[in-house]
Amino acid sequence: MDLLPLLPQAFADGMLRGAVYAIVAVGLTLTFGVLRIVNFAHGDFLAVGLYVTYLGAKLLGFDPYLSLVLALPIVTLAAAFTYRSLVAPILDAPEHNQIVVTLGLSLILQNLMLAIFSADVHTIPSTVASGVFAFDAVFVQTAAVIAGGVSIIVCLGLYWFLHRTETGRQIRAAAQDRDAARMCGVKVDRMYMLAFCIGVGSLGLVAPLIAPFSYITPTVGASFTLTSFIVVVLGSMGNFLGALLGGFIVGVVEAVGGLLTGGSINFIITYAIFILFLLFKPEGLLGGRRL
Amino acid sequence: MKQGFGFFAVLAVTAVLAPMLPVYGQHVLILVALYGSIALAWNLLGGMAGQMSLGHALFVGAGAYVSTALYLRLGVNPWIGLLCAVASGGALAAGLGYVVFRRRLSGVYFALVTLAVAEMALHVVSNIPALGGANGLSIPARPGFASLQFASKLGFCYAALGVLAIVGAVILAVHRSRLGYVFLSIRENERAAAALGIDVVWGKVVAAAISGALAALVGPIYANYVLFIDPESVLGVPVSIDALVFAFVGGLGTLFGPLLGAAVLVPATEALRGMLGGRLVGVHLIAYGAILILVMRLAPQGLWGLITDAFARRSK
Amino acid sequence: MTRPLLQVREVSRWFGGLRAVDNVSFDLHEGEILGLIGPNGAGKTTMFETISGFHRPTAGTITFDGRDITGQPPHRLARMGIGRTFQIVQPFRDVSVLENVVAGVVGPNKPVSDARGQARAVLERVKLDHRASILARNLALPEKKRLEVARALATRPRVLLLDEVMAGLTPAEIDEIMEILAGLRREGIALLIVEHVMRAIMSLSDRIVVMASGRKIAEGVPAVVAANDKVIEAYLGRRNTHAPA
Repeated sequence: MDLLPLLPQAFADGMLRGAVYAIVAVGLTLTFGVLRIVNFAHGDFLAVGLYVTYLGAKLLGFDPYLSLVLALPIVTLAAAFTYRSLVAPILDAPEHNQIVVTLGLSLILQNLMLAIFSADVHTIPSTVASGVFAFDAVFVQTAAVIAGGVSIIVCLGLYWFLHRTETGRQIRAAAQDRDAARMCGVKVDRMYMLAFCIGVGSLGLVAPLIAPFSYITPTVGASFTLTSFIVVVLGSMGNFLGALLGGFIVGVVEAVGGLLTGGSINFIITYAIFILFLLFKPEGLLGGRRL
Repeated sequence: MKQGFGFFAVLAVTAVLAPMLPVYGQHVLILVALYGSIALAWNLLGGMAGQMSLGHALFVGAGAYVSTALYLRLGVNPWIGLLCAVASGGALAAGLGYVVFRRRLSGVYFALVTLAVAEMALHVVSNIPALGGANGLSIPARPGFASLQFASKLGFCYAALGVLAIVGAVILAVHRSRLGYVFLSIRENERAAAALGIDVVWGKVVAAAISGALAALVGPIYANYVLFIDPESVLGVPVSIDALVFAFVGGLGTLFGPLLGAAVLVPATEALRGMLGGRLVGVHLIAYGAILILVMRLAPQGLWGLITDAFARRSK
Repeated sequence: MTRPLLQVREVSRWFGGLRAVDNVSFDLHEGEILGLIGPNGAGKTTMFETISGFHRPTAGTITFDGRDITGQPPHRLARMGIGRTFQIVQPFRDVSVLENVVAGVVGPNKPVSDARGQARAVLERVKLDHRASILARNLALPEKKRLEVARALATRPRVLLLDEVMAGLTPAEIDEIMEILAGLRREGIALLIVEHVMRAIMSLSDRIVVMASGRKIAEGVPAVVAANDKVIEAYLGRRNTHAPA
């Protein structure tokens, strides 16, 4: 096959794409995998971060990485507001409430951004991390490598935070059994709020990181939302290392699949893997809790 | 009983008034009837049986593509194609439902699977040349009863109202039979339902099958009205979202609330589109999102619930 | 003595290493009220869930009217004539009391004429017929408990499993339920009752089975069981050797 020499490049692209998927999905691992909050607007918060980064570049001349100081607080504030006003009141309501409410939020966010920024595609190259690394015959963008590195650090960091710190323990306790945790003195509401803000707020960190090599459109969030759910299920609910693994798998399958088949078939493969996992192995690759 | 009478009375009155409507009004009527039918079908599974699907476009699209492809590629009579469409919608829903429900996982799981399957179907169809790929299929205009096309919009009005009548009749029949209680029990409390002798998995599969079949009924009518289908228009996420929004706004779990939701939102959307021209695409979706949230928080019983509450209070 | 209607033979139910139910056997006869008591954590609820099909026994067999029903799912058991109530009453909140009971009438999927009429008759038996058109969520707790019994009765059971149906009721309300249950026994329905309200279960039951730590520690008529040393020890924690004769 004359595609063989292109495989290493596709693999590298896939790994880096996978690192991006992982870092976007890791927040959902926290909010959905641990807290069991269904948030269909997850990816749209990323889009908000991306547009804040864009505005930083366009209005203030900020390099994308510098826009971190804008994006992170803004997205985290948006997360806090969303939790207080939309999520907290319906935590105990039937599941479909959360699905519908966050779906509504997603519609609002996506179409607000569409109305304000139009459907034009934007890119924001970084002057700080431009250029490409070359390993052998494989070329990777510097910005992508940085994002990949940060992704691994964030996943490991969140794992450490949740499993090795007192606050993390309290969050897990609250998520497992709200009433029992309350009786042990855990401030359940505060823990939920904190975890939700970390999970969604992380997207404010991710947005400036991926801005240099991502396309920015109002609908970029929606595809990330579905991919994030795929990664979370694949990597097993609540498992941060699983999010890394799941992200890499999805990324590589998409990149290599795209190389081998061309066209939009690679999406089909991703969805097919997702559906097969949901049907036959809902506990994911690393086992543990199911949906 | 009363609701059924009311429903068919409204249909009859609409049928009588239809010829007097302007052409654009008839177009809106057709949209309301077709979208309302999809929403009613969705509500049977999502509202009455409590299993929320985020991918009902799959069944509508399956119906549209099955009948259209059979007609264009194999010359199958569109009426037979209609029956095939309904059968495929039902079979698809039953199969998907069975594989999902027997594993007894939570509702989010079903929502995700339906979303993923519908999206996957969209991409699959986009890559099949025989089905027109991403460019879709055009249906040659051959007005005539035999080809399930009508020379005037009025003909399509009656066809759409006919679909609505069938969907409504099925929903009424289900509601009055044991099946209605099966769905109710499953929705309210699965364990209690099992203790009453109800096979919960079977009940959910039947709900899915009927819901899928009714949604698929709309596909061919829509296809023959617009004379064109492509993956985005019949398999896209907006179709699934619309069904859900109309059902919620109209009244989740009520018999005919979803039709009310469609009757209010479809003309409102058309009017909004008219006012803004093509300038602000998707603004109506902001309104949909806000309405969804407001309904969920303030009026979970939807418009139907608000109206019945108002009547109940007045009669006190 | 009539043939036992329900036979529980050496049933065990383990969760990992925990033996929630350990080798328990007893019989339930037609028209009998059998009380199942024991301190908290004795395994009564697990026993209940196992008999009603919500758990599969890890070992042992359960026979109903001569048929082996071990491991059958709840809906099949309900259709065979084993009905049950739930400890935390959960009526179908947004429909009327009558509709709740109709669901029970049609649930078992057997040919039924006049489901509504049958439902009304059941409501009369539990003295809820005057509340037939009230939405279930607007009922008071004792009424919800009676609705729970009514819904199970509507499935025309031969055996009715009642899970702490008297919890949270006042003495007067308990008396009301006891009357209803005695009436059911007169109709020939066998009752297996898990209960903590001692006076009720002691006076109502024909026989008592006592469980502790997953095992059966005593069985017999109430008076004998009440005087049983092992039973006293299980509840009080130590033997009362200085009790007056």
